[in-house]
Amino acid sequence: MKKARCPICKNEFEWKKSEFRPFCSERCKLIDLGQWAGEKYSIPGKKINTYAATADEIIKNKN
Amino acid sequence: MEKNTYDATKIKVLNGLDAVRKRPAMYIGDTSTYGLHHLVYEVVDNSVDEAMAGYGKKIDVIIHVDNSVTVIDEGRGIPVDMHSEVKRPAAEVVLTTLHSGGKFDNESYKISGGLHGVGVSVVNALSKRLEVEIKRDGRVYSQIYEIGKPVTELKVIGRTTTTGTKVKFKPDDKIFETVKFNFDILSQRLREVAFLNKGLWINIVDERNDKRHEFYYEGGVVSFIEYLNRNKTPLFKDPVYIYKQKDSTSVELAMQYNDSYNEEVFSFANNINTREGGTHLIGFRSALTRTINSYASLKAMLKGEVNITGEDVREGLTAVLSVKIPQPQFEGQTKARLGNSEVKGMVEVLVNEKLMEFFEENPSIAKVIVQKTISASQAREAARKARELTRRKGALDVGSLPGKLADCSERDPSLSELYVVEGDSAGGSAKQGRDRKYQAILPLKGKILNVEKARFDKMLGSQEIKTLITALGTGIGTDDFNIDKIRYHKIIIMTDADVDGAHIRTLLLTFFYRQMIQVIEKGYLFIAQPPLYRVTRGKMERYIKDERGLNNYLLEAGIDGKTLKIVKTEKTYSGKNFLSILNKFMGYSEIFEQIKKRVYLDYPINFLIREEVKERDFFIERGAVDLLAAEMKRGGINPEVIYDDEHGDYIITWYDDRAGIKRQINRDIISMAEYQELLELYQDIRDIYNPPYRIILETGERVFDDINPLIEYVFSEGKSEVNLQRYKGLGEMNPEQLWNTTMDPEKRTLLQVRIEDGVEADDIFTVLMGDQVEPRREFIQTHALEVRNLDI
Repeated sequence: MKKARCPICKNEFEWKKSEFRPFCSERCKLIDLGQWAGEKYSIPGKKINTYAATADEIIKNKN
Repeated sequence: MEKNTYDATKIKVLNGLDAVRKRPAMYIGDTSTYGLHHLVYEVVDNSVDEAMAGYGKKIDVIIHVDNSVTVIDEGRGIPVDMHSEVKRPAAEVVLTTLHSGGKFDNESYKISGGLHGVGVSVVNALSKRLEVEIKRDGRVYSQIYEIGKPVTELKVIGRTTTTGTKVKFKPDDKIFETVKFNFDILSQRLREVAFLNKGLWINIVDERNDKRHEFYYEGGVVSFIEYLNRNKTPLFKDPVYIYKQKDSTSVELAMQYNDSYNEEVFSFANNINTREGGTHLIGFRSALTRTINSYASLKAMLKGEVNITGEDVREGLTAVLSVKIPQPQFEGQTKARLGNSEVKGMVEVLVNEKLMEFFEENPSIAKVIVQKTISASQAREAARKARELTRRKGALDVGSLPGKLADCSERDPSLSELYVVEGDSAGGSAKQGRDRKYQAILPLKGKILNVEKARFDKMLGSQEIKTLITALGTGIGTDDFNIDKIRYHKIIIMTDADVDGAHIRTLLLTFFYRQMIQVIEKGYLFIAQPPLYRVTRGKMERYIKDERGLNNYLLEAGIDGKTLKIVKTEKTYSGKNFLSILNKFMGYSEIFEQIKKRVYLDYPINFLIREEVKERDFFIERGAVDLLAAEMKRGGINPEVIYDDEHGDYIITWYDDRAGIKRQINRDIISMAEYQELLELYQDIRDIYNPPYRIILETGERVFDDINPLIEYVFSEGKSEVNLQRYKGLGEMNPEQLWNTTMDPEKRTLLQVRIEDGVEADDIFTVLMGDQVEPRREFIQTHALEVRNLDI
């Protein structure tokens, strides 16, 4: 049986047994949908302070 | 006269019980199963009252074959002395008079439960036959009734050394729709009674089939909680327990949380299950909500917009609340709601105080409870948002197709394609370039979020998601999603080949994977492969989708018309053979550069590889290490060979002028995976890895003393041959180019998204979204490298 980890509650469940896959339950799936609807999911983008980014690079290159 | 008084009184009494027979439902709820079983509870409750007053510990309930029931207790026995007013034995008065008996007189029973206001006289009135046996004062008394009327006098039938009351009754089938007792219903109630009265034994025997149960719970309501949670996973071990008794009033509460989302709360007043709740339950709920909120804010556990409501604190809650009060008032249809208004404040104050105390003393349990309620609150909020998205009437109907969608004219989904395109300008090109018969275009814009003025985050706005769902026609959510309604059997995600494009793609893939997994399972989801480069060479034009392809193309162009000669072997290579050698060299060179990042010098790597050194033992022999050091000297440094006591071998150190530090080479280089890989690659090129190389041109020759300059030369030759354009975004392509490279089914390449791609996107997404800063930073750094390569 393939086990998967629910993206919301992080509990393990059997992939094939859940009609709500990739979630373990209807509740977790609904919570996820709510997160999309509520614009809670965002991917961190570029830093605005470019000096900071450059400094990071300098340090990295030195090492 | 005396006799007349007796008769008159008796008539009055009979009138009272006649009323019971006329309107039984008023007294016992109904005349079906509920009312029938209620008769047993009435009798048992009297026995429980005796036990709780300290008389007797054991109650037997027996269901007989003829569906009559016997209840036996070890109490004091119903009083048998003459009642001063009616001049009948007290026991007879109790059994024949409504609202009689000790219970309305608070002195006899401090806490009384049985009467939903009725008492055993009602049982008598509704029974075909009732037999009472009382053991008291060393004697055994007995009396028999039929439909509530005594048919014998109360008389002494024997002697005894114990006390107690035994009531056997057979419900009247003229009153009840059914007279068949249910063992399980009675057991459940008796179990509750046993839970609520710590230390009480209740035995139930069903003589019809010899079933029996014995209920006894040392832990009282705490045992009740453990029983209710027996198949669940509690979030902490011991239930919270609160108890207070003052005068004739007591409040008892046990509660525990489990990992489910259901609430299971039982409330009782004087052992009566108040199924409809009432003032005691209101007081408890209000205190629970308030205490959890106060504790959470006190400990600064509430962040952002979290608002914990009564609904949230009840998720996963199992609780038993039992109050005992002198004069309970029961309200509601089935008299299953407690009405005493003073009880609310009493319970509320007690629970507020004791629960806060418990939280302060058990911070780890308090934390678990608060987290559970916070997660409930978030779930409630998310569910509300999700409903908003879907439930607004007609919001997702295809009829309200968004204006942004440029739909196709084809109506057969299996022939229709939807391009989901990032950005308006790319959307514009796609709209002009498409075949409008079967290709629809939906431009989506990632929403930019300015996070604390330090970062631009990307997300899919709820409006964009709504638009996407509408365009697909499937609906969303467990009940409303229907894959059969999908309007396109090819949904093609087309994003820029830069970081932002990758992020939007990840967001879209994750959304499909999580909320519309069937779209992926059915094989409807694809990723477009727009070219990254356009190269022209003379009149020839080519689109190349990635860097690897570009490299190959540049090499091909670079060797055109040239021949490679390995000077030492006199062998020459051209065309495909030349290209194959270059590819091998490039593979070797790539690994070589990786090692060089750690070793800093070419010479030792070249030396060790040429000598095909496989084992670390090489560094044990001074002579060999000296040879290596001598080789390094050729690089213009001054190495020193030192003996390493710890490993019993030699190391070479030198001073790196540029970095201003001392560096060293030792046995570890041989253990590097990259070194071993390089050694393997070397086997394949040993014969050709033999500088100098000579490239023969029509106009002359060029000599190279290593492979890297050779590779660089070929690349630069290639670049000079072609005209190279890198597409930073889809918008840079005109409609015709976009059609030719990415949208024309004859020429395009589409990647079909599989479940594994969804899993991967979700992983990336989870890392990017995650609370753990470390893996996210690592991830961004690794991928930043890949992105840098893309941005040549």
